[in-house]
Order: sequence, then structure tokens, then C-alpha cells
Amino acid sequence: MPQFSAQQRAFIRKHSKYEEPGPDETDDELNIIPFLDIVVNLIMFLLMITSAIAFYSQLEASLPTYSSGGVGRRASDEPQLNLSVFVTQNGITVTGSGGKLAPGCATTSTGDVLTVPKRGGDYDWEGLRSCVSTVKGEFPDETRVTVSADNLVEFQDLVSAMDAVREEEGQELFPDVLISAGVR
Amino acid sequence: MAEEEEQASMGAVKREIRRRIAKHPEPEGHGLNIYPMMDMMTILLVFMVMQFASSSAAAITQSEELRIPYSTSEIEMGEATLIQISRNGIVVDGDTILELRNGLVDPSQKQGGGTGFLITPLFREMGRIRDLQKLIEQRSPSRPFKGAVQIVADERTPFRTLSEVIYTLGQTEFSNLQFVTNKTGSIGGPG
Repeated sequence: MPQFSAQQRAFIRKHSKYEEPGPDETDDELNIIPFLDIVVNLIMFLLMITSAIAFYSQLEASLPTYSSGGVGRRASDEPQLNLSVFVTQNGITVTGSGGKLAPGCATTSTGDVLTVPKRGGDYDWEGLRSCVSTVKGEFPDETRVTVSADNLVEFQDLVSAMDAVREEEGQELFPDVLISAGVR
Repeated sequence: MAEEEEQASMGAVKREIRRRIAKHPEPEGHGLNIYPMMDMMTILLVFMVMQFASSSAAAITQSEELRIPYSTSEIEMGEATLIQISRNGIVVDGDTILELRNGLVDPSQKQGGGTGFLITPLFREMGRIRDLQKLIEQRSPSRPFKGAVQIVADERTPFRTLSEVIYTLGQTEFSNLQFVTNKTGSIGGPG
């Protein structure tokens, strides 16, 4: 330890003097912590809502168009499928140009027949999907299907029918869905 | 003379000053600077508020009167005129157009009464929106009239009501229908 002279000690005291910062020196800034809390909470709230938005999707459909020239690129001499799915309160009827499809979807049938009847009181959506998949196998270029329902059939059942005819395990079946409103 | 020889050097004096200063506590307020974080959060907040405000999904509030059906569709929601069909009313872009009774349209609100399909108040409102959108198309060709509507309907809505709404939309040149649904992995919903 070096020996300091009185003069040096005074010099050291003068230059190492510690002064407590006054209140005007420490509290001169706006306290932003509460503001920061609000911002963090708002961000969390908005993040939660944004994730809720991601739960929504949309199902596209259109109305049938009536025109004399036909729709699409199909040559006029090729057979038209005109696939139609009708949801009733007892089951689902699938029709094409050849008539109503019988259960199993391999043949057509006449009369009051349900192509995919209800099973245990519930609609058999997988049965409908399997049926239209069979039809797709015979008409691979066809993409349109008309969906309609009985007056009292609920919207959820219509949406499920549209889901069943649109695709099967990522493979498109009949993605162009037309909603037939007021036509039976 | 001897006393002067023993005197410490200037370097030692400075070392001593530094040592004493180092003993003092750091004054408060010199800790972490949170201003950059606050800037970042404010920017994030503004961005999210803007995104939220521009999303039509923000206008959808599910309730006992409006339960959205489930679909396996993965298509993200787009932007279009929003029509809500709940158990007790039809709302177009936030304005209540008519009231429903258990999801059914009162015959007095339809052209032709009970057997009619054209819902008069909805026809008037959608006609007004169509004219407005076509006017916008004339002024700004980059925003063409697409005839698109987003339909947010209660899952229990009877097809009769839905077909009346769709028929009325068809009569006002809105033929591109986008049904808003909840995403699900299996047909018919989670349960």
C-alpha cells in the first residue's frame, strides 16, 4: 500500500466522492412498466383471437347457371353425367343422367329408392363418399355435382354432404359444387 | 526530502481513486434498457390490430343463436359481403335485415307468401350492395364485381330458409357462395 501525502489524500477524496443521486436524477423518466403490461396483455389477447380465426375455413359453392350452349369444355357428343345428390330426412339419393343410383351405386333403379339410407338414425357420409367415388371412377373428367336437400334438412347435413362429394383422402372427387335452391 | 521520496506516484493515486469509485453502488436506472422491446411490442400491437380489423372473421361471433357447422374444407376465409343467418335473424354486413322465427322466414317477408322464395328485404339490400359494388367496379376496374358472398349460417338452419336466401342472392347476381365453417378432421364435426 503506497503512502499518500496529505495533498494526495485530499485529491483522492475529492475525485472519488460519491454523491447519492437526488430524486430528480433517478425519477425523471416516465414509468412505462404499466404501459408495457397493457401492451403485453393486448398482444396475448390478439394472438388468441388470431388463432381462433385460423379455426375457420370456407366451403365454396355456386348456383347452377342456365345456358343454351352448355358449360365447360366437354364435346357435345360425350355423355353428360349431371350428378346430383339429394339429402332427404331418411337418407341420400344420388342421381345421374341414367337415373337414380341403387344402393351400392353400381346400377340404376326406379321408384322411391334411397342410394345411401341412414344407418342407426345418422347419415352415412362415408357411404355417400364411397358411392360418388365409384361414379368418379367411371367419369374421371367430371368435376361438377349438384347438391340439394329436403326443406327440413339442417345446414350441417348439407355441409357434410358437400364434404363427402368434394374429396376422398386428398383425392378430388367432385369439387365444383352447385347448390340447387328451390328446385326438386 | 525523505518524505517526498516516499510519496506515492500519480499512477497509484489514480488507481486508488478508481478503486474507491468502484466501491460505490451503481445508481438505479442504469439497468436493462427496455425501450427497444417497447418499440417492438408497439409495432407488433399495431400490426395485429390492423390484421384483426381487416379480417372478416372478426365480425363472426358464435353464440347459442349462431353455431357454425363443421367441415373438412381447408380453404382459408376470403373477403366478401358477409351474410349471417342465425336462429333469429339475417344480418348483412352488420345490419339486421329481417328477423327469423326458429330459423324460418316469415311468409309476409317473401314475394308470393308462404310458397315464395324471394325474400323482399334481403333482395332490396343485396340489390343496393350489388349496385354499389358495380359502381366501384366502374370507377376502379381493379376491383371487379365478383358476385361473392360469405354465408355464416347456424348449423340448424333448415334448407328451406337457406334455399330462399340463396335464391334471393341469385336474383341479385350473387352466385359465388362461400360458406364459413369450423375446421374439423372428420365429416360432421368433432362430436
